[in-house]
Amino acid sequence: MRRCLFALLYVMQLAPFHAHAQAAPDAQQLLAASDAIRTPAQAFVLNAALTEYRSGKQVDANMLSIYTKPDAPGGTFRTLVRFEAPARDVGKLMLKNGDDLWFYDPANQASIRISPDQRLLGQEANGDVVTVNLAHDYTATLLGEEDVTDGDRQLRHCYRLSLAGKTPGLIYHRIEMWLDATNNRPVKARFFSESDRLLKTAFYRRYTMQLGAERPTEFVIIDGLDPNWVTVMRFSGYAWRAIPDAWMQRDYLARFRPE
Amino acid sequence: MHAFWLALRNLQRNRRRSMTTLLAMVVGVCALLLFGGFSRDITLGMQTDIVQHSGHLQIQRRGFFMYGSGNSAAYGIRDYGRLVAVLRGDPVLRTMALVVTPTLQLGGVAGNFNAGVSRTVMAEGSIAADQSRMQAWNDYGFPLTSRPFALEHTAEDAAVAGVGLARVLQLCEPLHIQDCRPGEVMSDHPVAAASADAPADVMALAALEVPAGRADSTARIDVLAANTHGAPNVGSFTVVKAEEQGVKEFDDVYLALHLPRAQRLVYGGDEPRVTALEVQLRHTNQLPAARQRIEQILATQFADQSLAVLDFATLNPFYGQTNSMFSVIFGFMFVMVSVIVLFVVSNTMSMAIIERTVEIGTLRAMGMRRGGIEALFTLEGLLLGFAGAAAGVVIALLLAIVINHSGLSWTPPARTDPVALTVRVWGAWEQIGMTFFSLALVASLSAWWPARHAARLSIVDALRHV
Repeated sequence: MRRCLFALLYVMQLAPFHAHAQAAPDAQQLLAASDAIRTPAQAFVLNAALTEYRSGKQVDANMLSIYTKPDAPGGTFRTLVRFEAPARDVGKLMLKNGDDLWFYDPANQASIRISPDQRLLGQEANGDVVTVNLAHDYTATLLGEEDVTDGDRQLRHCYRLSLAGKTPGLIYHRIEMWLDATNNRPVKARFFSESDRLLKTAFYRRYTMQLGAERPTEFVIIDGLDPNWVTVMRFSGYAWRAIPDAWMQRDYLARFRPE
Repeated sequence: MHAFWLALRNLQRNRRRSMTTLLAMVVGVCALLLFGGFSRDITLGMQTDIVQHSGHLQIQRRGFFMYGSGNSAAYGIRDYGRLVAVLRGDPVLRTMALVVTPTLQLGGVAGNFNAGVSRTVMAEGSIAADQSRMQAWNDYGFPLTSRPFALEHTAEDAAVAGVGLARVLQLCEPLHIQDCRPGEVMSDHPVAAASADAPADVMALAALEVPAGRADSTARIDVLAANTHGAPNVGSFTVVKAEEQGVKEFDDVYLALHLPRAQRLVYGGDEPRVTALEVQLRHTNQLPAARQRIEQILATQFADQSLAVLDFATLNPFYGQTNSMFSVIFGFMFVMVSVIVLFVVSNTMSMAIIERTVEIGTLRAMGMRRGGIEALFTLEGLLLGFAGAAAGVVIALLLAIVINHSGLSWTPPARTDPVALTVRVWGAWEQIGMTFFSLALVASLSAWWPARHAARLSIVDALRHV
């Protein structure tokens, strides 16, 4: 009897140690969890309202339809973006297919590849911030825990992760991410180039229930090279969508018709 | 000999006419020789310029010159350090080569994002100390002051931009560029006057993220370039100087960087490479021997990479084009001067023949053959030609000395500062000889035709000529 009691006490003593050992989270799992919150796992479509501000004034506003499809479950996303507004841009398409970015203009029916350095200067880089599949392309290490100001200027207790790119052809060589410690929501991210220059800072906010999870429906992206350039992307109209593979090819761009 | 003295004495019968003809020839010869000297000066000046900036020979990956301007990073030379060491240590090459130095050419976008402007650039990374040594080359003795390379003794992240580029990137104040009109500048992203303000919460977030301590007084630019894997990379540089490049199109894209930073931009953490090795020789006439030796070294020790050796004339088509243009102009002038000499001498001889018709008739009546008459007058023309050409050469040489020491200067196209006006007549013996003999020949030919006509005169009519 006494032996059983000792054994029970012994086991109970050990239990807290076990709990502590489990409290240190696996960085890659955290990343995967935040990915699942940020983007749905299957093919989906949404509408984006993109507003661009320079030096405190609104410069441009676009409405986009974004069709996203993962290559394989957990694989890279391929994204097709169609411009819906303003009228001068209606019908233009952008296809992100792996590391390549293609732009299609219906006016002259030509598709061109956007060069990597030009990508950084336009909205394409912001699109990369939105669609990047972090767990697939990056290896995460946990740097620690800290309090950080989130998109609504509230303090949140976050895990700080450092993500290193797995392949050399990625636009963002290194990413720093702050994930909310309580629910793994992405709060803030910083994107760096190979030369360790800060390229973009992103805040994730306006969490609402979309497609089965609380997802950030507004991104505020602040450019690191040009400090006066801020882009706000607001997402709505999330819907599951069976997207055919054919849509995600450069040759199909000329024939694409939204249904 | 007898005929020679006869011809000479005949020429002196009407001194004034002979002198005038002589003068025409002298002017023609002088014009040709001085222009030839001037174009030679331009050729050698261009060559000096090219050799100072990019050496006599360049070693590049095969195909880079023709196809590499779109993707220079892909044409990098591996293990270039070993190649430089081998070339510098080679016993044959060491007597000929002054400098062997690596350079990296890359295309990218340079931006001054504080001002909201950016521009595509052609950047060149090089080793500043070697470039300064190359700029001291002056084998042809031009009255130049050697200027050191602007990047020498500057920080690692220093850059030198063309004046056009600096203007576009709005770096006029820190670089003290004149003639900048800020009122005419339009930023890349103009803001309409009636546009809405950004929401306050967004601006507050942006304000949190602005990095502290951004000193705006220096001319800082960011250069974006694609690395070999297709991902973009960004480097930060400080422009220390804006240098005029001569040609506006080049001036608008020129950016000089230190080699290690340029390599980091393109190759990141990978093994750094270069796109060309520049070789500068002591004398240009050593070029064929040096090229042969380099090709030998490449074939034996570096056969795993296909490398090609190109000379400066191939790499700078403008050089060959300018020389061709001057050759054409020279040829044109030569034809004109020859035609003028032709007419002047033939006019003189025709007049002489008409005046001496009685004499011709008398000589023929005395028994001189047709050939003798022809020879008489042709020899006179030949003497005129030789004397005129000789006098022209001497006077051209004297004039060249006067011009060279006159202190006149001019600014050639594609150059920014004036150079001394010099003509290199002394030393151009081939050109002088060719001009001398061809004009003498032209003079004698132009005398031959009227002489032929004179020889065929009817003796009786000639004797009776008034």
